[in-house]
Amino acid sequence: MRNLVCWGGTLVIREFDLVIIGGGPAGMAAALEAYEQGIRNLALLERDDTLGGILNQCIHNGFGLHVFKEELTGPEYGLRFSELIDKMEIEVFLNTMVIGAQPDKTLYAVNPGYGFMTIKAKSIILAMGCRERPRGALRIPGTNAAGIFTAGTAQRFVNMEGILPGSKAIILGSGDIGLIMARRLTLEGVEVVGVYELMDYPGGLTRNIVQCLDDFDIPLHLSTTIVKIHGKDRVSGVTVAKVDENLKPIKETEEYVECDTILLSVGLIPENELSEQMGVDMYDSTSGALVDQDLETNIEGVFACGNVLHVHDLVDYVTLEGQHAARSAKAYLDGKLKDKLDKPLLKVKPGPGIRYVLPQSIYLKDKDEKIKIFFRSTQRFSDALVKANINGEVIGKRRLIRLIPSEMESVTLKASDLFLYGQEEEGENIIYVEVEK
Amino acid sequence: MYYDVCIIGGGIIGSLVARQLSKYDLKIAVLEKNVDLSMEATGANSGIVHAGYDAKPGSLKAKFNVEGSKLMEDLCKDLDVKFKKAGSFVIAFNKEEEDILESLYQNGLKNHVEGLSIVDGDFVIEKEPYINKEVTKALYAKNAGIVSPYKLNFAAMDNAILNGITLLRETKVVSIEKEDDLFKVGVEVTGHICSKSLVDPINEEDRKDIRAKIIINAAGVYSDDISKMIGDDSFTIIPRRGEYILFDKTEGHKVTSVIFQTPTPLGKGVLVTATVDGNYMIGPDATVITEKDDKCTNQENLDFVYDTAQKSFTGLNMKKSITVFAGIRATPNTGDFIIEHSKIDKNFINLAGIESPGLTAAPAIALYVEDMVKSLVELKEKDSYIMKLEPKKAFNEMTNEEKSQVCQDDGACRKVICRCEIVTEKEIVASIYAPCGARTVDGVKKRTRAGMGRCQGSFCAPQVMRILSEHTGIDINEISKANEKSCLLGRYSRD
Repeated sequence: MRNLVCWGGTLVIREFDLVIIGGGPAGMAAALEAYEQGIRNLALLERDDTLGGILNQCIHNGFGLHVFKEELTGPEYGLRFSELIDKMEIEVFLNTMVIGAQPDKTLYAVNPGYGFMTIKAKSIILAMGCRERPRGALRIPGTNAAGIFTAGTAQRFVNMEGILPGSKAIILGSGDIGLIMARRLTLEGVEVVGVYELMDYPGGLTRNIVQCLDDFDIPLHLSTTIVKIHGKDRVSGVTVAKVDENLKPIKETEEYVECDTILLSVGLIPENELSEQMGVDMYDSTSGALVDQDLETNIEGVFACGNVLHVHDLVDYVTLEGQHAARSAKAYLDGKLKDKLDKPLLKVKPGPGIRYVLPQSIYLKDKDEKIKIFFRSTQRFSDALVKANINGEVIGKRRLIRLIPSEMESVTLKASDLFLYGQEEEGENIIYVEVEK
Repeated sequence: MYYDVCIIGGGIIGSLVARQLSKYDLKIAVLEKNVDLSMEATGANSGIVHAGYDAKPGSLKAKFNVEGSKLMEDLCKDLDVKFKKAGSFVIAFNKEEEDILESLYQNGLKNHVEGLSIVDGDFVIEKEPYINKEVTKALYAKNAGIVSPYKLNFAAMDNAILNGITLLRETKVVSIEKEDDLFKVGVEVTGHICSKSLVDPINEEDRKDIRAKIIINAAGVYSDDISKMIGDDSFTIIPRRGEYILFDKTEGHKVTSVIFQTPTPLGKGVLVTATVDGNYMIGPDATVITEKDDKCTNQENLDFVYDTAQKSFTGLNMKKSITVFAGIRATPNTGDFIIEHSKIDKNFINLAGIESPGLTAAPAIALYVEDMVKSLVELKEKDSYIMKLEPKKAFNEMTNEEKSQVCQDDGACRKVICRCEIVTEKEIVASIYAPCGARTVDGVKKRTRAGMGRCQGSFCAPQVMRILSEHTGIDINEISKANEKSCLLGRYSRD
């Protein structure tokens, strides 16, 4: 610890090769992989008092099928990583809130032990995760009564504090946390009246629809939304209505549903306030950073992974992305990403039927490289052919029996196919990923 | 309990009057029906310190607006409340609207408003780059300002309590009778949060058999009901509701002042205003309502606010809206503020119908009421009157040097509870122990901003509830959002 005396107090300044912000699944995976790769001067910053992030409140199972080939609960999945982290010389700062970030990779944080800290990092992995969209962001009209919770807050109350949020609940939005909470509340004896989804397809995974709603006879109302919240002090009910093809509520279909609790599961927003403070360029479609295939942002040595980059369906994918970011950070620290700017660069953009792509740029370094482009569709397609084109040439395709926005898919490109375009001055050199009709 | 003065209502008017009178040797009680202040009109309005050009010359609105706007900056300094001289524009897009600006300007001169000028469109565009570029002229009031109405409310009450007044919360006035020159005030207890709290519990003696020599009716939207209790039905209050949309701080740079549209016979239009906390908001509409506590927001009104704001402002990004809310205004049927001794009984002072520009007028009204009370009883100044509150800087607003220093000094500063607004545990605890301390989640939110940010308390509400429970001794199951009936968890849970 280097201490500098300044403005009458002790100024804590720490320097690291790699600082990972966020000790959830993305950050933990990144920390372990970074360690495996040989990075030793490494810090993991977590604002809560334990590692694991939101996994700690996800006591249901279904985690780890891809990474560990077994079915684990959230806390179990988290422990697989945190126990290893404990054994290694990774410096973990718990209860540590990063409250400021600068483009030169200086971070400011508060910590119960050290107080106000200045942290200077050679490289940074952003792994802050996401937050839930609150009622206010949806602008659902009605009273400002108690009893409206985001699904994750309710999950925390039930699973961590042992307190139930209400006795008769409805759930707006069919995101995975909402579906999981429908089952969880039912098991705890709360009456779950129904799940209401604005779109004509569910927001969560099919397996959650089956296991959390169908198995418990909880109705899912598609193309339906809450148009008003009632109850002066505590929620007493909601008015729901069907929506038309433009998602506008149809007045004639309005119906009153009695309940004392509303859970919102209407989307997750990557928590990028620090990234933006630092000057990281953002991608409107994901609300996450713009990255290349190394998950590197526009700021050299700053990488992003997990739900802060784009919202994932499964924690397993978050883990893989965290590991990917750590390998890139290692390459950066070894000076291997330095000449990136001199290499040909291709943009990747969503074409018809595609909502977003990731990464959004590819630079050509190695002919043997295989580059996975992740994407989500704009709507539901059955038997879809997804193609990646550049200047009219198809360079990758994938046939999917079912393609829905709530399930992320990918198409893999071979760098060798791309080099031709990287060299050319002609043409726009943009890779479009699109759904062929 | 006997009081020299009973003030009914602890909003901005009641609290500033209480503070003003607390410098005298008087026994004063403020009766507030809610568990906290700022739960009615004061808690939800535009937060603007108006220049005073639009009130009718000669009206009480004009008089108190112009006087109040001059007092506001110093008052905020004394009470350690953020005030920003943001300036305001009324913008015009054509000749007819420019004519209206001119008449507003002339009106302002009649009202003796200082710092008014008519400026051309480029001036406005330079100051407000997101404004509709078709703006041709604007009435610029450089002295107009913005303030947090609820922060001012709490600070004024804190100050009054430090000077010895008694605040009785969850105490609703239900009857007033005159007995032997004194008013006998019947009250109903509306909740038990404040009596259960281990921090400054209500002393039941204080609200038993309340007698008062002077009553000041500052009951806002309910002031006509209170006045009727003594048989004065000389005015009625027409409750009107205004709805707002608030945007994230990351959008705050888009607006630095207050932007009004040109008033038309159809209405005042919708304003776009910066807030002192760095957000911006749009609103309000004006809907006459039948129930005085109908704080419901409505799709068509929010749509109206959005559509109308778009006419003057091009920077709206609805993805960045963080909340919508509605506020109630106490519009009098007389068209002007009612600030007078009741004709039924001169010891009963009505401060009623204080709609816009009521927040701006409040400091001047408080001074005026001091004189009204002087005309009724002899006032003796206290030796130990405290006029200023100790300045307390929010952690989030400190420089790195200051943050480092307070973290050195106090471990409680090192725990950040609200991640969106960077509010520390120390600040939340302090809000509970303030003279007029927080007892609810909303109370903590308004005082500290924990839960005011983009996640709207999704992450910090459980923590805030824990801290409230730990310090007030109220079981976590009984911690409520806004009042005893808006319990967040327990009562609605299965056993």
